[in-house]
Amino acid sequence: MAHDAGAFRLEVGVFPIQRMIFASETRYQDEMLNLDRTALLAAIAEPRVIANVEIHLVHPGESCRLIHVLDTVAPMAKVQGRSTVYPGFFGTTMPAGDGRNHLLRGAAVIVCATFPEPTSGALSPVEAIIDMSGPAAPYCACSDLVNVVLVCHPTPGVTNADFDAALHRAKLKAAGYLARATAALTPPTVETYELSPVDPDLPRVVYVDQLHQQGLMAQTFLYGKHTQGLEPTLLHPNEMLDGALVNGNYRAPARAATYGHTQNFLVQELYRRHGQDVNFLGVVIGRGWQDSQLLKERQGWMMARMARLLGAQIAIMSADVGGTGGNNTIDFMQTIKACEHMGLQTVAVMQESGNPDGSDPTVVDFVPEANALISVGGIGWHTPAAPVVQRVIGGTTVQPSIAEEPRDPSGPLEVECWYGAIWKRAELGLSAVDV
Amino acid sequence: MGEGIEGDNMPDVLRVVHYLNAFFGGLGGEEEAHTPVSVHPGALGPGRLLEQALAPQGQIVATIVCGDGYFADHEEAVVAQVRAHWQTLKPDVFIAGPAFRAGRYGLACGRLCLEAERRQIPAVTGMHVENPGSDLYRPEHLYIIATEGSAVGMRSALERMAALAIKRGHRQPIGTATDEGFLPRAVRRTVHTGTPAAVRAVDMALKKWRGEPYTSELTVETFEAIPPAPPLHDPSTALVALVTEAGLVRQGNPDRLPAAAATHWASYHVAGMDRLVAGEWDAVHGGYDNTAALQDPNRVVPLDALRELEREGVIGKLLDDVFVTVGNIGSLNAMKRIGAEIAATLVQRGVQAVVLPAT
Repeated sequence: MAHDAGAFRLEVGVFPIQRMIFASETRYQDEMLNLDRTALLAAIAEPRVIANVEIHLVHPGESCRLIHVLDTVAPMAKVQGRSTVYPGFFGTTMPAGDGRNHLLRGAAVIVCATFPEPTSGALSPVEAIIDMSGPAAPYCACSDLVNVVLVCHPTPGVTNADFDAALHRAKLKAAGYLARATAALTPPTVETYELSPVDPDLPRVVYVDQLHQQGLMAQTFLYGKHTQGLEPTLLHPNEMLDGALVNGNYRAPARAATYGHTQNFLVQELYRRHGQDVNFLGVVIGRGWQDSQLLKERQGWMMARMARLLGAQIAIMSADVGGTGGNNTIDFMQTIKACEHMGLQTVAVMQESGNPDGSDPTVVDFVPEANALISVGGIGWHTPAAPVVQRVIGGTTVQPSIAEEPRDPSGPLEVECWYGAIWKRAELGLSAVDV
Repeated sequence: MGEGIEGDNMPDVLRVVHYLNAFFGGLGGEEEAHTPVSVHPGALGPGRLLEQALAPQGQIVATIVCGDGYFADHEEAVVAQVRAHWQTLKPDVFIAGPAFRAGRYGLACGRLCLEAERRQIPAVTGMHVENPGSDLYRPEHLYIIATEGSAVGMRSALERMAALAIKRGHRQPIGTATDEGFLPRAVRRTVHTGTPAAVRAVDMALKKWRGEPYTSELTVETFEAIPPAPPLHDPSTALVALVTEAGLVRQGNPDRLPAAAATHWASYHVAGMDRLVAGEWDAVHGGYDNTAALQDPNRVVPLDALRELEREGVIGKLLDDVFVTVGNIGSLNAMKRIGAEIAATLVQRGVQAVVLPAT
């Protein structure tokens, strides 16, 4: 069949989710999913690597805390078209962004696990916690969703690398399994995503997305492959909606998420305004955390060059939904600088590191060209203290920092290791001001 | 210096002490710059306008005047004299200037306001952002009202200085820098804007593209330039120390150094060690792939190389302890303190040179 890929016209059939219960048969009806736990287990089982999977359902408002959270995934499945969702992990890899998906909106798959081998340094999972209710919940990604939580336990003797690879397969298979419950149903609403031609006088905008890639447990997958040697490249936003980027980064609590890649707030906003006040050209991706100053400068120019060759007039930047921090801020600043030097009007979304009294410098690097920054805050800030919870999923102790002793996870918590905190601050509209 | 709760025993009328240089104090121009400190009852010169702005909530009880040149030449003595006057005058608030773009005046206003704050006297000054006093004293978190470059902006400067001084004197909550009109003073707070970052980003980009005014939400910091130390006169006699932010710790991390945002440091005894042995060390710094460091810790903290230099007589001796913290996403304030603490220890132990391997 000719021309059955590459149109980049994606229909998303949206099935709202209000509630999930365990049942003898997996079935979607009236915004509720009945879930056959045994069938889901069978769909994701890899006993050679994952000895045991606990499956839990949690709802917003519950006195429930999820700990050792590694990643969150939007439940979706391809129901028409040749490509797949989360392409590259299963079967042939071909360009995504076409056809029709079914999406369970209001739900997520969450994977929680403890790795079998000891780790330290950057390539380590760092504690990340979701409270489903209480004062900290608004600052936790996915606390407002109905979540299917997979707590995965490794088979003895398995390596971290093998276990991690299996976790990616498990979460993505689970996401597909859940959404396929709607495969034969007519979606209540269908959203169509395509970058149709618009008024040529509208400013041409690219989204420049700096990905996190350092190694195992600090990586981002593009079409199933880590992005270690990635040179900046171009994505149609539909490829992101389809899950071309999958998260394997557990390095900071405010990390990227597969859910955040597919529902990226800047992609959503630029799509919303495409044809209204912007002409959205596409997404330039590249990896941050380059290994030297020269490579960081090179990275900046390579990102900007891609945007310039696309004919963009405006670049809007973020470091995925995980935020800027230390090392990657240098790559980020070099990209801002290069974009400005190539004539793009550049705005970049950043977090501000700093202590609660607000008196620290807020970014570790800067260039004078960074003259239009959006802050999602972070300095002069304490997330409200979280109370005791009735239910804990994901482990038996929490260790908010390696500088602290592990402790009872159900107790009150006054910490900053909330899962997806930067992403939530961006969505909630937090910023920082001089006071 | 932060905001406070209005107390029960707050004075009805705030006692304000005002500081002026000799020129604004009416004691003459540049030729009077060497006028020593004098105290005058009530308001003087622009202080009269200031007092109108303060009324009825504040009253200028005295004006302290000093020539800018005299201040620069006798800074510590002047500060001591002003402190003594404060003890007598018991001000509720201290107001200095405004200094506009006058550099020496700005430095004097900044120094005296800092001194007042350290004595729990709320202080307010005013100057142009390019006054050297602004660069020097904003990082000290002083409240400096942004003024125009010259005295043509006197009235509006005094009105905003008075308004802020009244709030500070009454320990009332202080608004943002934009609301109150003070220069960013290196204190930031996270706030709710009510608009998601993505919307603000696209809005700002469109304004920037159209050439319309917009305000960046994040003021980029300028960092202090650290001049390199002069070369060692004779390294072959020097006691040398190894200090690192690489987070290399003894296996088990006994000192519980964090992976990021460290607030403390550790030291490890390396006397008698020819090199760091793999397996005995961990690298807990959360910012880099530590595979190579774990395989050979000497590649992060080069004990082996320094021992070689020690044997060859290139350096005199290596200190028996290495000093370690974690630099990853370090708070500058914490790092300054950690650096000062380690440096004090090194000085005490007679160290003349430091090798600082970074990651």
